[in-house]
Amino acid sequence: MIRILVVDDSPFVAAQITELLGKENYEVVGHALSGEQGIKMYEELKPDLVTMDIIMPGIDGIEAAVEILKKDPAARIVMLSSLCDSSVLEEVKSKGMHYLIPKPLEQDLLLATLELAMK
Amino acid sequence: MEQEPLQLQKAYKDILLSCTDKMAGLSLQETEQFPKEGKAVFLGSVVTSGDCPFEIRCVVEQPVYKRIINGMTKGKKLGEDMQRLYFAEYMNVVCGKIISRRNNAKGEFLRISVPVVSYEDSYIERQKEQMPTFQFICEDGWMGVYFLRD
Repeated sequence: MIRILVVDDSPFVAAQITELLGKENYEVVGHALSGEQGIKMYEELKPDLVTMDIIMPGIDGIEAAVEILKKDPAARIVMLSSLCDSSVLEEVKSKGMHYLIPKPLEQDLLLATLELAMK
Repeated sequence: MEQEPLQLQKAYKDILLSCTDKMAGLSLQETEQFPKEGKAVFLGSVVTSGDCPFEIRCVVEQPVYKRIINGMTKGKKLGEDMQRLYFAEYMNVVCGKIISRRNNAKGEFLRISVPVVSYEDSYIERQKEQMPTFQFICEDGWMGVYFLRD
């Protein structure tokens, strides 16, 4: 099973990801409600992959992802956001992340992106 | 919002309609009818970044709020605090996509705040002097969307 940490202040998103991945080879092992909590939970849980919301209270998801990558350059992080314009995409790429999925989530795109991220 | 081209305004409406359908399974119809009676409402609000920030405020009559939540949970019951978090995510998605569309059209790079959700007994009475930018109805009631400059 591929272990996923969900970092998102929205319980709806965590529930949705759990449901969308329910019958696949993925297990949601933790749900962090903020970037700061996500950084801590990454160190504790050592997941195979992280889904990271961008807009959150406190530090945003991009900053949290950068912190995780500093501690673990091999971390696999998939960014999620409703804000998916060209500037957000550029910022995500420039900070070292490779994947950005738009919200609302769609199962096919989520699965395809997670599969790519795991390669 | 009056300065936005009609094509962009239409895009914003389409985004709201599409997101509401996808996230809550709810079909809204556009309307020009402002509610006659003051009713209890929930308000979702985000503020943009930038030199001239503005607020996107979504005002929904209580049954519409419940209907959206019910659609998002597929019927599962939630406590009040959790309901607000779900509605906040609905606001996050709708407003994020609207601002993304605007950013791409205008070459700007606005961001949005974390949504705030609140409740008011008599909002519609108080706001009669300020018409919403868009209004929608469904069988459960009314929704108004405001784009407000500070």
